Amino acid sequence: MSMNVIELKNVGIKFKIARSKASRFKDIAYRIFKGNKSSVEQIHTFKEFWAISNISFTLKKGEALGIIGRNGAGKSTLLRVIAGIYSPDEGECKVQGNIGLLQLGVGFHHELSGRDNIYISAAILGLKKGEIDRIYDDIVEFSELGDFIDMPIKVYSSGMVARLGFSISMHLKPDILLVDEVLAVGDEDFKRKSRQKIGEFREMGKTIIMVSHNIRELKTLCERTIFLENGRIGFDGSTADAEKLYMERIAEKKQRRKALREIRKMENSL
Amino acid sequence: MLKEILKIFHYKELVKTLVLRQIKVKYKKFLLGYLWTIIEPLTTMFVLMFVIGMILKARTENFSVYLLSGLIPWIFFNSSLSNSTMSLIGNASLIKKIYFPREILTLTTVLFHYINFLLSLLLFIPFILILKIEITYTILFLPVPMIILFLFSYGLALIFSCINVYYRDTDNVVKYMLRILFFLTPIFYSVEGRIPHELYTVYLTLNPLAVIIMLFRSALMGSALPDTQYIFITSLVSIALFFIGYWIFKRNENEVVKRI
Repeated sequence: MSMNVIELKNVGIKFKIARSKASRFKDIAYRIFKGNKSSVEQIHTFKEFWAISNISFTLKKGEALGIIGRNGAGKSTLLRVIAGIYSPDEGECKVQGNIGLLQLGVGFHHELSGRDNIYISAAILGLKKGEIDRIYDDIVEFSELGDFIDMPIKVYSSGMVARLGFSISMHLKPDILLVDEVLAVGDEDFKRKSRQKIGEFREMGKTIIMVSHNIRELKTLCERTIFLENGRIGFDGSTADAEKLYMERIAEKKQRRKALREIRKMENSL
Repeated sequence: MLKEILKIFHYKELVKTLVLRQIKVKYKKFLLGYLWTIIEPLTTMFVLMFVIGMILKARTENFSVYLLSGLIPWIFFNSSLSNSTMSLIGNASLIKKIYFPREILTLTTVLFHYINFLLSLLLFIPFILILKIEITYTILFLPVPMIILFLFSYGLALIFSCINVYYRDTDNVVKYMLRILFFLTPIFYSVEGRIPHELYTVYLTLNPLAVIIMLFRSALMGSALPDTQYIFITSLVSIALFFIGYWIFKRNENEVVKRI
């Protein structure tokens, strides 16, 4: 019986959106001027916004979970909670094992060379210099950067940055791999190599969570998928069923847009 | 809280790498590289020698060393505060990538300037040799102002780096305050005989930096120590600031991460 490596219970993340400072300042000045001091405090209140709420699920060791949803559904926020970057405002999130979060080009210092960035990224993940030395060559080889490795990141193409990031995360051998939309860039050859590498990870019994817009990609890797809708779990089950639902929603949206267009057309012709 | 503060030692490898990164970024493209840590205090010293010493004729004995012993701690305080205010915002991409105690970012900025500060202390050696300043046992007290100065600066840096995420004007305010503070700190003048007697207590109580610089001077030049009560107050304020800064930082950490 394998144990749960990830356990989320009613997790919610709240963002406070401040009103623009200039308008707040104007409001305060205006109300003081009118002698209405009692309402000055209210101006300072923030608008609250729950990026995700009521998220509960568990993941066993060795499972691969896909997360799908439209832009702004809270996919990246959810990954960040699991990675420990955001701590939940509500509920709790328990994670066992070290985590690798794969994001595009994030966390690199653009003035420094690829080599320096490998060392910094690995140190952030808790590796000692000797350990980094050992995996350094593999990282460079997999990333196919060649001589570019000693040039500053700012001269890299976006595909090269993605390759370096992917390569670093994969060679740090995390217990849990979080993949955030990274397979969307890079040439076909690298994509294939990356997919293969993630597949190898699966076979090694590591836990994977993968965020994507591309449900076909999830299908090849994950048997289970969570469909996020407006920050809540809309569906949690087999990837095939998630695909159906997702496609339905997209079709609905298309239809709605089409209907709207037609109404506009009619309005214009009137 | 102490336990949490000590957690930073688990991350010493990261602290080391990040400090080295700053050194690399900072000096890689500079023709004169590390010489800059010496150039800044030296040029300021010469300007002040000219303005204060020759134009205003308010020089004291061994004026060059006198100025340096005020300037070097001041430059550390000034640059570590003005740079660490941006330490969280400037590292937004790192913060969003992985979890680590975020005070490390502020700490490494302060540490980077502290290393510069230690290196520029070496500047005293030629001056002491050339001007034949007598080294007395007081030099043994040098670590005291060095520790107090670090705690004082780090505590303030934690507070400002945190506030700066909410209000970006903090960066401007800090730089403005630093410019005022430069004149309110006995860098190019002495406290004794210059500060009116009635203001003496207020001045030394409200400006820990003044006491810290006085301690530096007594350690390096054997000048009189400030009264024990001021040393006591300054140490207490610095230690308290460190803990308060840490507390404020930790309390706001989650919100800061979301806002970045």
